[in-house]
Amino acid sequence: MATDTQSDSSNVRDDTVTDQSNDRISELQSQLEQANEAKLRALADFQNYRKRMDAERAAMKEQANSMLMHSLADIIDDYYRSVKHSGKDAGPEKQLDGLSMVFEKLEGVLKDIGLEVIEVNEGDRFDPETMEAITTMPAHSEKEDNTVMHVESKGYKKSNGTVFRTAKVVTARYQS
Amino acid sequence: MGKIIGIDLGTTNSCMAFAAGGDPDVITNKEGNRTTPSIVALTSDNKEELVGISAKNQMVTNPAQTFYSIKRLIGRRWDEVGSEGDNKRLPFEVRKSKKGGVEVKFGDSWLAPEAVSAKVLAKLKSDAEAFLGETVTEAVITVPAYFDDSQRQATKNAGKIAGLEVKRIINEPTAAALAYGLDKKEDKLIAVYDLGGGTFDISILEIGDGVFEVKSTNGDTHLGGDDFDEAIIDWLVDDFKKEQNIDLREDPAALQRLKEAAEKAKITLSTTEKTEINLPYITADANGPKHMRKDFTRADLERLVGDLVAKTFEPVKKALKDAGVDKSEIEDVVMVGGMTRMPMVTRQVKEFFGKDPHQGVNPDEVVAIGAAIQGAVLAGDSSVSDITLLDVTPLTLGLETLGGIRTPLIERNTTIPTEKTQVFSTAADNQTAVEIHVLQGEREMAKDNKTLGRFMLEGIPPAPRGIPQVEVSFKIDANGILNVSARDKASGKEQSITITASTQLDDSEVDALVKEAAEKASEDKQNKERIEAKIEAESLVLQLEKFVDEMKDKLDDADKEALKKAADELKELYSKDDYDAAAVKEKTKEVSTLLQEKGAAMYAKAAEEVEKEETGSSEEADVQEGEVIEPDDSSKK
Repeated sequence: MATDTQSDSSNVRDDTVTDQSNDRISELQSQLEQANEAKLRALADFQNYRKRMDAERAAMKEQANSMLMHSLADIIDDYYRSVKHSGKDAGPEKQLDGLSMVFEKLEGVLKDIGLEVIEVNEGDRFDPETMEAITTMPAHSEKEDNTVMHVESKGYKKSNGTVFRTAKVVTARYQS
Repeated sequence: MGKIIGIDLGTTNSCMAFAAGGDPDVITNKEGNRTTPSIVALTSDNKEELVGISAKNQMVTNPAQTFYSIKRLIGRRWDEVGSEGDNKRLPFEVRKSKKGGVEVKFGDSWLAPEAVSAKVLAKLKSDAEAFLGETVTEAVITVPAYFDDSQRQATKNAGKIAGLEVKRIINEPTAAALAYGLDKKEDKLIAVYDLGGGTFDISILEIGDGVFEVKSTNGDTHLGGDDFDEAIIDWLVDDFKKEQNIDLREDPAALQRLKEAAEKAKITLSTTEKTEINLPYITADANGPKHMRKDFTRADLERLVGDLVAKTFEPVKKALKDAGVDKSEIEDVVMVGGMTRMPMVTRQVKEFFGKDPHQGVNPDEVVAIGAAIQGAVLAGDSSVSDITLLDVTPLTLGLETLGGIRTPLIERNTTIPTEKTQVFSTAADNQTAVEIHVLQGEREMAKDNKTLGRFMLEGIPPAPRGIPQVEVSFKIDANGILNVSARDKASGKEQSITITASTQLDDSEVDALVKEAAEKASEDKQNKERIEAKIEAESLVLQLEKFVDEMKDKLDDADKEALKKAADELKELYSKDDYDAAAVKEKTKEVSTLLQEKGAAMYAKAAEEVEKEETGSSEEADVQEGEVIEPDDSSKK
């Protein structure tokens, strides 16, 4: 009998432990489900946020482009004027003056949108960060080696200092 | 644990990416570019090492000390390199190392190719750290599928020298397949067609249970976008010579401009049928400046490079033969490399395999993206492996509001799970029930969309129109199950409906509906505006009548008459079946102004009376601040 009683009580204890474990498992399962749901939700929110940002960025780009288009349209008008007046009474000097003004205006537009000309002059030391060498020519002296002989096209940098386009240059190469 | 970045260490350019919140993205370098030239240089005075774009910029001034295409040498034996002639094509010195490998002359010393590649990786690491704002010590690096153990080990060593623990070396085609989530699907055979700047690779892979097996690889190590550019340049140069008798190949500055123009035209012709090569002052002779202006069509381009595209299919056939599979057994084709943007390439690949290739991910970045996904999985970011399971709503979900208008709540392409709540109100005085008509589709009018379900919310306490607040919530769980509930804020009464098929639409069905909506967008918009004009007018008339009724003792007869006349005129305008929306809008504006004027005049009159009364009283008025309740959503249920 004693054994039976012991067995009974141990069964009761086992049942209690099992019940407690089951409760705990259910609780943990529910917590896991909730955490999983929250994670998926956060991820979906993040992706939706990115989609919203992309759309906003596209709208901003569109707006920025419109501003640039306005400025360029102005310059194109000036350019037509200069073409219209070329070969008329105005002498070449006057025409050149006009073209220089159009050019200055264009540089102003570039400055407004955050582009600055990278100043490169003949004789400057070649800088691979801001210039791209398209070819080399023989240097007259060792001192001239790796300097700019000719600027083929201008380079531009953005207002944050990063290079937008390198200046294309011809460099001097000294061979002893 | 920090982020494990993915690096596509390319022959010409390298690209790196990382995965944040399960969404991989490319890391821009210090110069703000998404790819970095895989080029290292040592300046002529041996003082400075340059990596990336600056090394490329000085290439012609310093050919012996500018190291590119190092990937062609890494982990290889001298006899292999020699037999393929790669050592002779390169302008820097290459020799056999003591162990039979390859080494390059770097300044005064000799370096193994992996030590040079390490310099590229070190720049990528440093730029990634600047971009991410944290230290990066681990990476997944991709290599071509044909790389042998020695080449893989050398690539891993390059990472180690650069201070990166290479968590895994994965095949480039595998990375591309990962970027498209192809590992998530059932067992299948896929082909990865990779046409980059300088090389062409084709790989046949078998995917099963997330395991990738390379069945075969083939390719052409000297065929890529550069050859396409060259073909265009040759055509332009020959043509110019015929016309002007000047050889532009002898003019490096002209050649540089031609190269840029050729590449630009090639890219433009991927999206347009025709472009123009316009190069003023390309050169000059004794007779003055010369210009180049030439129309260039997609047909011209395809004629020029047709042979090059055709050349890629020989290796494709060989790879299929080696894998022992027929092209019809290939279930997915993945495109990698910038040249696969060219319509002719896509078309011929499609014709060859008989199916549309995958092209959604930028082909220049797809390998790095795949590497980043692998990196995130290795870092324990389970969200990455789950990410493709996160579905989107294929079409907009919304409900019908006054006038039969569809009011969207969850826009199409929103990632799920998600939820949106909006407060609506009643359309008529003492309305005690509202119908929630759940719609799916892109059209402006409710009737043109699909009905997903409808239910009534009853028991709303009687109140003037616009006063009850009915909160409608749309919730979609990760399985696409939509639950729509409506709750009257005052009584707490609630009703809901669960719809299980809100995301189960096939692509063609979605495309057709979106197309239809786009075609009818302008007509739908006009209809919607017309109905909105009427709703606004009706609302104003009700407001006006209420005002006249409530203020009947304070308004004089002339004012009452003027207001009533205005309301009648407006009613007459919108009551016709074919009412003119513009006229209704105009009149609404006019009546609204009149109502405001009368209201303001009445307040002014009332203020005058108060002032008169106050002159006889010294007590300070007890002013109580009122709370203004913002109007609900303009759409009224």
